[in-house]
Amino acid sequence: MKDDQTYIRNFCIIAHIDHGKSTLADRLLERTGSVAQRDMREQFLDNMDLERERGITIKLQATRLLYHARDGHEYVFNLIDTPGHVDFTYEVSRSLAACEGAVLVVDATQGVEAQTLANVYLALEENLEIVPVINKIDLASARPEEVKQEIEDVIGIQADHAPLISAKEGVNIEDVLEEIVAKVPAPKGDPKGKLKALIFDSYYDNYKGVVIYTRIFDGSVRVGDMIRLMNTKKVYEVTEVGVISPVQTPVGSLSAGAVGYLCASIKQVSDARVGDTITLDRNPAPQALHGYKKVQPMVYCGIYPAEGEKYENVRDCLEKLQVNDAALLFEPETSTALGFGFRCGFLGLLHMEIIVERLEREFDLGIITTSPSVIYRVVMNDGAVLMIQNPSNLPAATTYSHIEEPMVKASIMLPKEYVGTIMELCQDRRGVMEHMEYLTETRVALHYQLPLNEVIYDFFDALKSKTRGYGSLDYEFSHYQKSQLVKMDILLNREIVDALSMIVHESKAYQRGRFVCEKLKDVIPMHQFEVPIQASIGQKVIARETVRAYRKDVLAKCYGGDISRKKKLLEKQKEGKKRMRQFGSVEVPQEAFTAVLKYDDSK
Amino acid sequence: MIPSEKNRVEGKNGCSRKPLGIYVHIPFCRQKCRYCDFVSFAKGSGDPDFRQRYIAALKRELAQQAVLLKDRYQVDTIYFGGGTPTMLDVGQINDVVEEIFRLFSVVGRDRLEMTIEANPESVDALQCRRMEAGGFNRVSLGVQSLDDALLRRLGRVHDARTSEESFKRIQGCVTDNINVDLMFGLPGQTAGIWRDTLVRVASWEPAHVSFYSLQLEEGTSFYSDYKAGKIDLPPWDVNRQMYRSAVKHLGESGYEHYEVSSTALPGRFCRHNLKYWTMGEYLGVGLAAHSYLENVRSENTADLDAYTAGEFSDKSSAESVEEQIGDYLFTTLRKIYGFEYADFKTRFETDFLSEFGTTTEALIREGLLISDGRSLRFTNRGLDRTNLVLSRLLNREGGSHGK
Repeated sequence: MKDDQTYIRNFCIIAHIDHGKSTLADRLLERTGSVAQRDMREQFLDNMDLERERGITIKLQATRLLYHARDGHEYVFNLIDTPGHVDFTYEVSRSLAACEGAVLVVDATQGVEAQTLANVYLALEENLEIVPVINKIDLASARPEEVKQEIEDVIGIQADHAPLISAKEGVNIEDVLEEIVAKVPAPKGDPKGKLKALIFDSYYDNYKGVVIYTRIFDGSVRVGDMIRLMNTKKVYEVTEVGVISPVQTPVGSLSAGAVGYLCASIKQVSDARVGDTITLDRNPAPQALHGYKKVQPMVYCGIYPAEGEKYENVRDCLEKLQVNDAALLFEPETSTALGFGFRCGFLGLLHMEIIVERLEREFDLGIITTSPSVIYRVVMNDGAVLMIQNPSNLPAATTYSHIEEPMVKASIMLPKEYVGTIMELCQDRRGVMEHMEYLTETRVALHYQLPLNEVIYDFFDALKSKTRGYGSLDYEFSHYQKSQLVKMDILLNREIVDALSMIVHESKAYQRGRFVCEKLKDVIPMHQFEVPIQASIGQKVIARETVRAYRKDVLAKCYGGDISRKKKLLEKQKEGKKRMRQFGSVEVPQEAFTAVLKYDDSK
Repeated sequence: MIPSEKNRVEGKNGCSRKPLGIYVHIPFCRQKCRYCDFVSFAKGSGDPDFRQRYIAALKRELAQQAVLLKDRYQVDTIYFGGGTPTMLDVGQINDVVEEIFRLFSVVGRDRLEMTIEANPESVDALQCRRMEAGGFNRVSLGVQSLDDALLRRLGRVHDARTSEESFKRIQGCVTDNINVDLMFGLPGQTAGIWRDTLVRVASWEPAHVSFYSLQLEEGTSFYSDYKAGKIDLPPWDVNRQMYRSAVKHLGESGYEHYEVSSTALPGRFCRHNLKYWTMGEYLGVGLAAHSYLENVRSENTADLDAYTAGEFSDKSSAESVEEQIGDYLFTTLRKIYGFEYADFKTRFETDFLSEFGTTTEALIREGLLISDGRSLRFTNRGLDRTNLVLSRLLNREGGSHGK
């Protein structure tokens, strides 16, 4: 009876960061006996260290749970986890599409948050049944009745029966399970129909090749079937199908309504793209599932080996990451300042930060990253078009007619008291407001056209900071637009550091130039000589700072026999990952490259 | 000859023991000076329980080390530094001293050099009596300057008069073996102000005078103030003029310049500090203290909570011969008479000039080093650029770099 769709519930959990999504997932696993308590690593579903540290989920996971409900039946629960950031909206929408319902976790002390709302809207777009749950009722400051009211007002769904739980303390977890049985609809696919299965995640395994996480909508699939991926049009033979409970367990077949995994000797995750539809090669479905999109990098930056790091190591590690990350692109490039490295493309800034952090931590690489850039469309005098990802590749100003920059449609949700501040911020970032709507009495959605290059600098940090963390941002590419853009160079000790060049809007050049010079002045240590820092457009210097000279010619006091520290300063480091980069005679710490991008509250 | 061989002393049961210096770090200060980047802090320094816990941890560390060292070494110098050791009740310090005597083999009192650092404001008659009772026979007094405006700017809590009174008090009831610590190249300091300080200090006739050029270290408030243009320093040529005037003036008063920043009346060198400059062995106990024993350099944790919890050591590494050679050059050249080629050869079984000849010749040609054929030392010109010279020597950079 287990595979009868009547007893299947496919759902995900939606929550704001820190509202307890992962903790609740852990409790559900524990309560259904899927994970023995002693095997529980806290927050089982988030299995990357980075995710644990940031408290966010990056990679999707799916787990099958068996639940003996109060009605006497045993139910199969497929819990599909979703990532929680703007860069991964598309992935979120695909994993939501694999579900019939969503458990909405709201913190009883904080109420509905903007980010929750963004995901709820995505879930409503996929016609999911929302099951609200009020968490953290064990806290003294919990106000469950108010929060219920808020859910009804803001989201417009009934919340009076919402279970009041404490995921941390394990209180009322069974109520959640019962609500899922009662409210989440059973799948309604046709098990005899033509195979239609959605890929909602995939990763590369050294032994099995690409492992696809899939939701079967119609038909069934078994080992030996020849499958066709309808968008990439590639055909593979299925070598394994199974369920995750919560380790991969092979089964004979997966049929309509089921969630599980599938292997077919696929070499790269980019061949099994999220959102694609699996069908049978011999008996294909006439139409793919809707919603497939090939994700394109929107943000580029240079990644270079730091002093003492090998170029080959960086390449090998990028290759390893790419096998698992269809959105990561990279190709070799050269910088006068930094030598041989790579230009890498990412979905957005967070994606970039995650990749950089993984290179540094998981692979222990010493790398330098350059200012992120978007892709500019340069229309040459003869009408030819160049797509420029790296500011230093911008041709001479006389050779092109104009530059176009990518614009995004941005939706910003925020409490109404911050509307003025954020409208100012958007205006400052050259945004054009399309419209504004009141979601409730206290919550507002602002819709803007914004240049992507303004969004990637520090917009998200500024938004978070100016709304005390309550504002959320969602954006998607809209179109290219002609714009007054110029290339700004940075000179250290009168030499251009190409890795610091950036393309900026003419109206922002002075402000940005001053900012970069000031930041560099802060992070560049004093040298024996004065170090002038200049920002220039063409030959024209638009900002200037100077790092004072400080002569350190004589030996200092070596205190209490501590000779090593002073001696090291005099020794050229022969090995190790020295976090300084030499430009001519100027030493620049690695953080200089990121410091110029950081949002500055004092601005 | 290798000093450690030369100085071997006979142990109780006939086996020879090597001389050992013990450095004890007391990280407490009444107030952090604006130039200081040593491990010291004012926070918690006023809490007697806290200080007592620190003393208890020091004693535990000494006991641990004694198990390993007491049979092979005999202590001949003890140095209490900081911070401000005299921030503590010297009675507590004496408690640590007694522990050293109880745990280690120590040379006779007449041959033992036992130094305590003191800041002028914390040396009253009672502290002096306790220093004397504890057996201290050398005091290093942090005078820094006798110009009150400069002292305030440094963040020092004493004034010139307190310095002189403290000096006399120590001289009267502890010992006349006193070092006076001075600083030059300070913001707002002129050659005249510096000369005035030197003259007055020399008139007290201390046994030892040290003088350090102010160094701006990253992380100190002076560093950021200077970088931001809030303070100015005397021009570099004035700084060097100050250095030379100290050497000259103190020389005329009978002080021998024996280390880049130290002068002493005859026979009054600091034997403990000389261990640092002659590859001598020393045990450092206390927060962030450093040790050099059997070619292993080690460093204690700089985390006070970890330290008081008994996690003393942070890292240690046995040095390669190459590293030892680097240390040797870096330290021995701080002595005005430098080092002897023969000593280098005995120690490392290799000829100095065949290893470093090219660089050395270039540095001699440039007038930065000088050799009499048997030893190598800085010239006066080299003393103004010690960092450059040592950096080139350690990195074996030939004559093509800079003039």
